[in-house]
Amino acid sequence: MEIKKEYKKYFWSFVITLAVFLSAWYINNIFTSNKISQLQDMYEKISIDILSIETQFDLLKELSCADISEKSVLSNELVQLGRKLSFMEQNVGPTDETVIKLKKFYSLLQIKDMLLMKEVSQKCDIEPVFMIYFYSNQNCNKCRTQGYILESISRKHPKVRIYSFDYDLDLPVIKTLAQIYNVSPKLPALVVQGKTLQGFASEEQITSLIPENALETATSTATSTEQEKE
Amino acid sequence: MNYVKIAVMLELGLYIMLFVLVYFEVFTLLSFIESRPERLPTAKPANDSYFPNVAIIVPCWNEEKTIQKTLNSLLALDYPKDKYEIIVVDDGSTDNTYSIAKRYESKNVRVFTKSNGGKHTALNFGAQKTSAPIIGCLDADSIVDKDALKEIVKHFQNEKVAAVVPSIKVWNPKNWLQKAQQAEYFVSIFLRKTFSIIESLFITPGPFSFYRHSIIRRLGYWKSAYMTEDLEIGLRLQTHRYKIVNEPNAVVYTNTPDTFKALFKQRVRWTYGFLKNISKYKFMLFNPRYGHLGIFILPVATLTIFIGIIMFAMFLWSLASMLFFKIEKLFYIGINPQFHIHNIDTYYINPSVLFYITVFAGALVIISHLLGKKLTNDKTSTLAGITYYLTLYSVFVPLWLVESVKKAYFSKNKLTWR
Repeated sequence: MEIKKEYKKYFWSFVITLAVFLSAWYINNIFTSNKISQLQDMYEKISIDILSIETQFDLLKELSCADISEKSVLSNELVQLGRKLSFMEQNVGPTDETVIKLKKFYSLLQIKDMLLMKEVSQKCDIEPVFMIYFYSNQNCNKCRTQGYILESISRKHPKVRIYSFDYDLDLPVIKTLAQIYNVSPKLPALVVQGKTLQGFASEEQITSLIPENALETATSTATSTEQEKE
Repeated sequence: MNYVKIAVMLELGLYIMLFVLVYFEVFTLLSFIESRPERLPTAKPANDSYFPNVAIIVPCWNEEKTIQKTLNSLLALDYPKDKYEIIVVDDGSTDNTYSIAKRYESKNVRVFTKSNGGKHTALNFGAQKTSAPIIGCLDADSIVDKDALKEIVKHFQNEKVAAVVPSIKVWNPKNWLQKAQQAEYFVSIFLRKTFSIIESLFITPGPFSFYRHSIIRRLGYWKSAYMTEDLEIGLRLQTHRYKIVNEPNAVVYTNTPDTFKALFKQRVRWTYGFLKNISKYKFMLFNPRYGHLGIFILPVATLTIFIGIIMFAMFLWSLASMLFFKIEKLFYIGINPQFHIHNIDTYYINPSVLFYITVFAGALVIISHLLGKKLTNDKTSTLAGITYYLTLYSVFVPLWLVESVKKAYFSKNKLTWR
């Protein structure tokens, strides 16, 4: 057999296999970028929503509480954004620059939402029900399980707002927030109705601090908005 | 974070292993496509006047259930009756194999019995009883197509040819396990043809392989070789650079295991035999003196055993981790069926690079399978079989690979016929 001709096969097989691997990598890249730009779109939409509510508030000091839809305050969209963001973080890795940037924006959105909610509740004389959760992806053994519990609470009681912040994120406002509530780096840490729970907290411990009316389950939230405006 | 480093290295290792597997598939398909059958120097049409004397040795051990079908198919071969003979060698059976075979004794069927010594002793015994220039063997649980012999014999017109191997198909597959094997055997038919093209056939399978008697005599006939004497003699022929050729139109049907336990034993025997024989013939590995067989085929065949085991270990590990996390989650938040299904967003479906490559590799297997069918003009429906093969069956493969490696390294026990 002709030596050169026969051994060309090895070269071409290598080229073809390499091409297959590169194509797979390329296709995956396209899908991932697509998903990340979806996140960016979501972020932009939510910031616009929040900004428009704030502006309304500023323009019309006498804004009636009935006009402020539940939707604007920690809308379901913000929760979805959070979930999809953490999904992408798992897929693309925590060091991806775009993901980090989106996380920072998301953290700021949460804080704005929280502040807006406080203003609304003051104005409309409702008791705000919210939790602040500080976690870390690196130095926190109990954070994963704490995350399950919070997710469970969030699904069972959608009226309870849970704002999550990555303590390691390079964003000074998170440290400021932690200072305000006297939160030390011993994570996980929860702030429930102003009370700080340092370290792992069970579902009972958490729900015991939440007022009764906020513990209504998913099916009844549809009617609660009407009741609150009184 | 050390875990991150380990994970990255494992992932890299996984990609390298996948690369080797896909490379092998691409290489075999390229080799097949490149050569048209007409280019093969040995593909001569059946010569109407070329009918040398042929002896077919049928070694058996406790095969009373299948020996009749085997012998009937041999007697039905389309070949001049006075030009071939059948030599049945009963290797000390404890059932009625001998008495059943004895009923077939005639001018061209001779039946012998001897004390148990292993298949290779039965083959050698039979070979001594004939002076036919071409000798072959047939397992006592296999059935031949009537054209098989003449299709094989035609290749011996080329003096350079030392051995000819057939296509092996599964006889009457019944359950999912046998259907999966049927699909697998079609892939083997394709690979055998391809290896033949690149002169890298190294197994002359027990069912219906034929040899030039003078060459086999010179080499010393069959040797005791970890119950895989068909592999050993193939390797021996290759070390002397004798030509081994495949004839896909010569079809022999074999009974395949229908329980997982039997399949497991069979495959452990094959893989164990392969590993032991390769260690004896390790001088062939990466040796350009043996062409494609030495440089590529044998090393990859050995490597895939270990790749299969490592990939399975990684698969088990990720399965275990996933289960662990799911159970941990359930422990903390309880079983809550109201976590509605309509919440599934396609966003969360994110196939990885690994997924795309695996799909491609699977597609190549399907193509090889279809080519195997085409080579033998087979029209049976194997859709179910190939599905089982690619899914359930491949999960079991690593189990017998692990067992074989363990045996090859640690045990000194003799494996039995079955």
